[in-house]
Amino acid sequence: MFHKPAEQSGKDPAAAFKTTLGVWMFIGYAIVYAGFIGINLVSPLAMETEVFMGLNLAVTYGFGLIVSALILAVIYNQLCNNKEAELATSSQGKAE
Amino acid sequence: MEVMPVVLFAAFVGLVLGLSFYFAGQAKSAAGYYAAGGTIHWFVNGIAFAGDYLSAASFLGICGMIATCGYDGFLYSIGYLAGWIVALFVVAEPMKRLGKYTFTDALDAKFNSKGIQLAAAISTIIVSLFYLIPQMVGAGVQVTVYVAGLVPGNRILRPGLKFKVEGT
Repeated sequence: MFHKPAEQSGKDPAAAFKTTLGVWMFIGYAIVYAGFIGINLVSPLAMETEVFMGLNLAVTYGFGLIVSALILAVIYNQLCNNKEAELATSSQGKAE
Repeated sequence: MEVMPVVLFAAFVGLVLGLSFYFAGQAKSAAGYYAAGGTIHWFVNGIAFAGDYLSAASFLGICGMIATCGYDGFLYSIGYLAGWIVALFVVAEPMKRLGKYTFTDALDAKFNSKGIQLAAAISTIIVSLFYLIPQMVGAGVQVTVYVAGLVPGNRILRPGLKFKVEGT
């Protein structure tokens, strides 16, 4: 269970797309992360503000970073899989 | 003396060591050692990664930091998340494409430099040492609670009290 034959490594036509997507998603997440750090540097007391269901900004923003990282990882995985499938289909079509 | 915690602790350590020796013997190549030959399902691999993060640093360190430093300690629990994001979005894809399993191998494949190999090895050892020291201290504190009763007249170590051994 949960074991499968190893993927055969070879030329990956989606490599450029995956690298670019990864870099842009990292930049987007870094901006959101920098916001968290910036608020703590400039106005740490603002983190006490209640923002969501009785929780303060610190807990909401902090756990939001954790949850958003997981969501971004799922999105990244899905987009990469879609691109790989699309390029595999198009290369098969060209070969035929 | 508490016998059950000592027995459970010894059994757990024995189990982990046994599994480690058994599966280490099955790895015959770098691909087998680092990535299990690529045969592990992503979900199982993810659980293993999560297990890496569920360490003494998480359960003892972060809790202790929040208890002693308050909100400033909480920021530490958010901090190391950033490294995971870098690894996923920036490092994983090029490493996989290179066919290498460690950062050192990837750098060496690109530059083929003894200097880079040496620098990477030294930095790995230093970082591992700094990580290992608090892990060992935390483990030692935990084990002390279990085995304190083995020495006659011992007092269980508590913060603020001196540890005194009588009758030895």
